[in-house]
Amino acid sequence: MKRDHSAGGSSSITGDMYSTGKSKMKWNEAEQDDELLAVLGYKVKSSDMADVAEKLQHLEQAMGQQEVSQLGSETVHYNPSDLNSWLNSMIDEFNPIQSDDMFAQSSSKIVFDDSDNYDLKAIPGNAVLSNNKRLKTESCTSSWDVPVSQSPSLSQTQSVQVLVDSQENGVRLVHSLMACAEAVQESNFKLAEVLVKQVGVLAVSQIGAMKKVATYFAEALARKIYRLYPQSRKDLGFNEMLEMHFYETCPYLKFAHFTANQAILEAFAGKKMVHVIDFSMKEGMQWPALMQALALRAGGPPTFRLTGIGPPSNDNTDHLQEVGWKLAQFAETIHVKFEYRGFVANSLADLNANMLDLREGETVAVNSMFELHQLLARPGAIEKVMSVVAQMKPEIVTVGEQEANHNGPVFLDRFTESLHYYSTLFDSLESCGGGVDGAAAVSPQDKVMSEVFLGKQICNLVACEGVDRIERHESLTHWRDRFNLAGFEPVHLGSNAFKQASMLLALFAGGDGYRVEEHEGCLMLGWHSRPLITTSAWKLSG
Amino acid sequence: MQFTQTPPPPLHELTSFPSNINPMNKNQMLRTRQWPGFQTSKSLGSFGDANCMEQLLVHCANAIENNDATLAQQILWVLNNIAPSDGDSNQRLACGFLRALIARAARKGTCKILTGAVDNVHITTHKFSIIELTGFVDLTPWHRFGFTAANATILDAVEGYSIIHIIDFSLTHCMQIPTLIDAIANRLEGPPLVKLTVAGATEDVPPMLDLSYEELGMKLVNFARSRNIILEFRVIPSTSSNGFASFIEQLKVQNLVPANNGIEALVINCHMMLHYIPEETLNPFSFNNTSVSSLRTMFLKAIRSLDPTIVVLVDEDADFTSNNLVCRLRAAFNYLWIPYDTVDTFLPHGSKQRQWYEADMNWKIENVIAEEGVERVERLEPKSRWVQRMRHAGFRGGLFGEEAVMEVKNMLDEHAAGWGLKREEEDLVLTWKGHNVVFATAWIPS
Repeated sequence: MKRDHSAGGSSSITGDMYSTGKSKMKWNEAEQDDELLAVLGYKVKSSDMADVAEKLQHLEQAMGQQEVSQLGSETVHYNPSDLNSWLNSMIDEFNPIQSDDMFAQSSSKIVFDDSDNYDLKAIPGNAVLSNNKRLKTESCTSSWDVPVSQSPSLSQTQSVQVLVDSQENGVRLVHSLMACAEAVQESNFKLAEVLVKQVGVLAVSQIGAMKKVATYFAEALARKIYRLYPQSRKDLGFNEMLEMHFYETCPYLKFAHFTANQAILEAFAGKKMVHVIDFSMKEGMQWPALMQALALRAGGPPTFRLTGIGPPSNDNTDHLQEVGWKLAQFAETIHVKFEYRGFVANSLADLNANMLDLREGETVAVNSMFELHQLLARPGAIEKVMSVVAQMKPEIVTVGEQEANHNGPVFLDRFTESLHYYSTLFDSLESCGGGVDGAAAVSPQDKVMSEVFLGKQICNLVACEGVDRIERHESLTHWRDRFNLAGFEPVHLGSNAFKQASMLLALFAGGDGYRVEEHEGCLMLGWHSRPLITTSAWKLSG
Repeated sequence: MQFTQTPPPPLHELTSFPSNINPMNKNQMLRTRQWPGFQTSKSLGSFGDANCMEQLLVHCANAIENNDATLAQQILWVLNNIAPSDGDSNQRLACGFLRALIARAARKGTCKILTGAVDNVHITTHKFSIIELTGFVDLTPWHRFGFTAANATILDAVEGYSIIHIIDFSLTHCMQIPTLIDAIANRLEGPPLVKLTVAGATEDVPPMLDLSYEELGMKLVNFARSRNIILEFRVIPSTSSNGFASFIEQLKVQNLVPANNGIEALVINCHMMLHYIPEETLNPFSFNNTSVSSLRTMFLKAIRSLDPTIVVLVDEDADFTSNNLVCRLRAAFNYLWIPYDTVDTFLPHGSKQRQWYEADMNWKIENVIAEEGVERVERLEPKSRWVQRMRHAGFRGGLFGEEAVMEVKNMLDEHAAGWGLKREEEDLVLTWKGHNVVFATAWIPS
């Protein structure tokens, strides 16, 4: 890779850099910033990504002076994994000038064109980014926009697709991702670095779900390669906001909630005092519907206790209490006797049954939505939690989890599994509520936020290790084993739950591909043939 | 999040999300979603729950209309659990509405086939045989009230005529007629010749009959003969959706309508049929209502032009004409609780007849809630509106005589205690637990 172009000495990137002709950053480990990775929200050393970008532009420019048909017959594809040298060879074909000189001479012509289409401008600098209509978030953005898609020298934008067929690119993309993951597994970071950049280039030519998934996985790999790990639990409020958007956009969380609620409602039949212990309190979205159903059930409502457990807020507010208070107000309007308690805990493993003030004669339900898998990051944690749950003597335990095995010991296996899983998930997102035919219109923000939400999971899954890697999804088979070991047996979710789930999905899912399946009493929601979410219910055996 | 109650529409708000995401403050991040609560209900006994059910149904309707999938799903889930199809009257009523709302949601958007998702989503209404229908209409005063009041008044009006021509616009397929023929045979000097002309088909709306009008007519003719009455029966196929326009035309073309000559009496008997004729709300965009009359108005003018001896108008006392779904839902919920409430008094739980009865009710509910435009045929108007229409068309109210009132009262004595009779000016109203159910009015040309 070419690293011998000098650059300006400053450590931050601004638009000024380009206007003064310093288009390339010196590969100086300590000093220079990589403008592209800076898009991701942190300053990294410079890369030769810009090199590649410019070369491609050169190539386009050069090609523009030739017939396309001529191009087709003459183009020889060299080894595409070595993009840089391939480009050089292509450029040499068109232009006999020494590549180095060419860049040095013409860089000023190309690089600081003021055209708005010129993507390099989109690289932060705040001043520059605010001109760009791209969505900016507090954490990593989703786009790995390589400045090759538009060339300022051509009157209309010509994308790289002129060169290579994008479907072929799709295949190449997956291969590159896999190859990169393999390189990472073998600690071959030099190769991994090359590959991850290649992925970025290839991702540009994709659209839709493929592009997004590839981008997130590439970003995660890049973090792993450059050891820039995301901070977990950086901003709780932000994470919960993302989850809210995900909740609204697609049926997965809703499905998990109302199938769990169905099981809880049935378990509470005829009981006068009930107590729900929620390991995943968040915004309390699951509970109004259950409380409403209890309020109007035959025989009248029970007294309803709710214990909400959540992590500490990172501002000064007591978020758990706020949520509880709102639920209390709601309970009053529907005439349900309600009592709430919030528990702040860094980990569910910090809980003990005696903290919860469990009372004689009350029927307990424990609910966990997508929380248990996080415990697998610390040895002994899940076992502790399960034994504590058993001590609560619950009438029912309702669990929602991702239906996937993302916790295997081999990194490449995890990577492959999760690539398939999230590809399916993103595919289904693409179909969510375009507002067509009167279907629920999902706002673009909702969709983007949902993607960011999932992107964070991908990031954690791929880039983190040890106690930081909390997205340790496991499939129903594994959870069943754990629950059995802990002394629980399954409660079948019943045909009522299945029918309701099917009906509600049919009415409102907004996409054609959702499928509800029943597996040994548990309900799975999936996209086409791939189950993605499982809701299950458990009780103490014997 | 606001979980407090709000008055009906609009019920929930999503805080609008800024398009360039600036560093968010807490309020923006915690998107609010309101779960609609209720007006604090005073304890209304058994109606407390009904009030809550109604509120939930209203909220659900709003959510569906606003394409709020999340809220609609949540409420549907709740309703599914609290309104079983085999519960008490309130629950069964709510269940009927729930099904109708699901049907409505299914017609919108990208809904696919709901296979077995909700029990009996597709309402199959029973096709009655004559025997079944006869027994059916006798079970409650719902139709008997109108029959009794109408027949008594008709008898008075046709005294002295040697020919009686009855035009029967009736939902119950001439079930009123045998009693009338009986009365004619017993009371009138004569016996007069009776002509019976009916419009329409036997399978448009419930209750549906499993034989054609031609076959029905033959049976009636035979019955009349057994009472020494000669009955001429005629069917003129026609439909309420065009205001029976072809029917009226045919009457005139075939010279079926007598001149007012003192020999032939023309009786127009309307029993719960006229509300199927489209009225003004079906064409809300007609700019000048006076110049473009609704089919309903035109129909009344047409029968006025026939110069009838007497017109009897019996129908259900409710207003289902609003174009606003929530208004219609409330109106329907606050009227159709009555059949579900009464059925306990005359049909045992789980009986087949009860299933038929409630299936017919569910058909009506679904029509009011899930259908729009010309498919929505259940367009009830309250008595006050019909009275206005008749007056406008050139009729004046006839009095129901004391005998008619007595007959109705006697009839009511045969049924449960909750039924009652009210006199409102010139009209008679059937009541259940004090609520208006069916009205009967009688008219002569003014």
